[in-house]
Amino acid sequence: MGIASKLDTVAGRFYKNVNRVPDKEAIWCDGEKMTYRQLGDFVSRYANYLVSHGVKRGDIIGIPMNNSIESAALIMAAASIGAGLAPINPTISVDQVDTAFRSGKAKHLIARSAFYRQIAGRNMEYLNGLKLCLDKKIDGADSMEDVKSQSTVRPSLEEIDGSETLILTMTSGSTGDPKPIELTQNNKLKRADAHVRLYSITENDRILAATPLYHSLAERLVILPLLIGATSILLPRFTPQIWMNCVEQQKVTFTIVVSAQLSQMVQLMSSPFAPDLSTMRSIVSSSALLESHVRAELIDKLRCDFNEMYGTSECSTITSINFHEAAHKTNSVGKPLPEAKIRILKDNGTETEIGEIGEIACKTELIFNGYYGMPEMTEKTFTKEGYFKTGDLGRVDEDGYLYFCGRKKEIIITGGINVYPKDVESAVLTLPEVKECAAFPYLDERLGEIVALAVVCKDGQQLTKRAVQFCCAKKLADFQQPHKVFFLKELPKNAMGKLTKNKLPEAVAGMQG
Amino acid sequence: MVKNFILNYIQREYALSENIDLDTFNYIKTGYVDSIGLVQFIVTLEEEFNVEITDEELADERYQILGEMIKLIESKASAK
Repeated sequence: MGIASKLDTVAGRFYKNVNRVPDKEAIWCDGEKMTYRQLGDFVSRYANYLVSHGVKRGDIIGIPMNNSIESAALIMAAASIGAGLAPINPTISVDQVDTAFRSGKAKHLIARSAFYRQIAGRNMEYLNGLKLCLDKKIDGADSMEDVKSQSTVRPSLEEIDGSETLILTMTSGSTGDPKPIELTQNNKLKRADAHVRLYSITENDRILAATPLYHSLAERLVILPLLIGATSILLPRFTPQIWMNCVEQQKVTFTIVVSAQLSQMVQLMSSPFAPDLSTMRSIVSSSALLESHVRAELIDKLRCDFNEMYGTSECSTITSINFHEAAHKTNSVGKPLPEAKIRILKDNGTETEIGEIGEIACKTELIFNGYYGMPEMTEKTFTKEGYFKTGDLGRVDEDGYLYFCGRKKEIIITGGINVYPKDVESAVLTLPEVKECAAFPYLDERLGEIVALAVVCKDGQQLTKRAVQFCCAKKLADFQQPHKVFFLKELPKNAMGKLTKNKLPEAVAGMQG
Repeated sequence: MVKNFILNYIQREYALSENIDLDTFNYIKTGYVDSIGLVQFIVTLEEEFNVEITDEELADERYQILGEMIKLIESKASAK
């Protein structure tokens, strides 16, 4: 097998493990599994297919991504040839797909037949490269047979040096101005290594990814084990029962979950019929703050290391706390990683005093490579000293522990996924009856927050909740759907006429929605 | 038509196995439609077939079975 790239690249480290532990289980997903040798062969075939069908170093492949061995193999195959992926949520509308792929400058497309049907007739002339259909033979696209017929010899190519874009994380299917978060191979490597150190991950770990692969968390949890010779356990679909059964059956030892998943599971954990989670040595909660009563229950119930992390896609993990070690700081999100420094900033950009609330800003070795193709936008999000402004509010105590105190930025986090209110509002404003509207977070036991909408109709016009939901079902992705719709005579505004969204929960209190 | 529409919708991300039994397959418990995706699933069916699914029907675990949901939509659509 030819080795064309330096060993310390994503693919280089993967192939080192292919050589070192060929018969070890590399990946399991939904009843299928592959050893490192088998996965290595598949990755090589995929890479050879991509190269022989015109994918070049630096090209971007658009892909509505599901959780599967094929998706994991594609990440490695793209890494091995220096191509990048723009993974998107398969449920987003055609308009959102178009916006996402244009902003990511996608040239090639890999998707299931349902997606090709969805975009048929839409002019996406920029997708003038490879087209692969993952599940069926269709006109105008290759099939997986074309991948499987390729050689298992690793393609010999110009040197890959790790500076290549590997993943463009689309900011949650924004219809407005998406900001693709660019992560290079080097970004991904640094982040993986930092987490290996932080959570003492070894090649003996069996690492579970149970969130969508089109988000950075699952990408990290799939790439990381393959870089160190551990085993990746990939769940395609989540329910609390499925997750817990998987941990027991696949003897999972480590995972990072989104807090909404833990909230859904905490009750089931108390059941006498709950699956055995004793192989789990460490769980990390992420994406949104755990509710304090859920956190307290988990600290009590979990026998393994229980951690909570705080971070952003741009910065990766910024702080982390192990609740069993820092029992006196359980309301905190922990101390910064060795790779990161934080500052709390006042509105004027100067630093706050200890304990004072301000915007969390972070300088870290794990920083992203920028918003793809948007250098000015990227520069705006940093201070002059190179600290990334997160848009979150927090304070630091005298021991250096960070406390999350809310969000400056307008965002709803539902089931661990960011929803930008502007995206929902833009869709709803296309209804001719709507004068103005505002999307806001509404507390929910299962998902943490759900999308709620306050709508003001034009004089003499009326709308039903269903009509609003029909509009959103067509224009928006699954996680962006409003669960609650409130019709108001007016939106709460301040004396200057500016919308005060934080008054909306009060304005709709007692209403059905 | 209802059956094909629902089957295509459910399989946007993941294929169902070929020998699936529609009369026992629970699309919620198997995660094919989750808490995040439920609103869009129901609203899409309502809009496509011009029907309304009541809160009681949504809460009824019977309609988490794929075959039952297909029958429900078929009977509502044909009653129009």
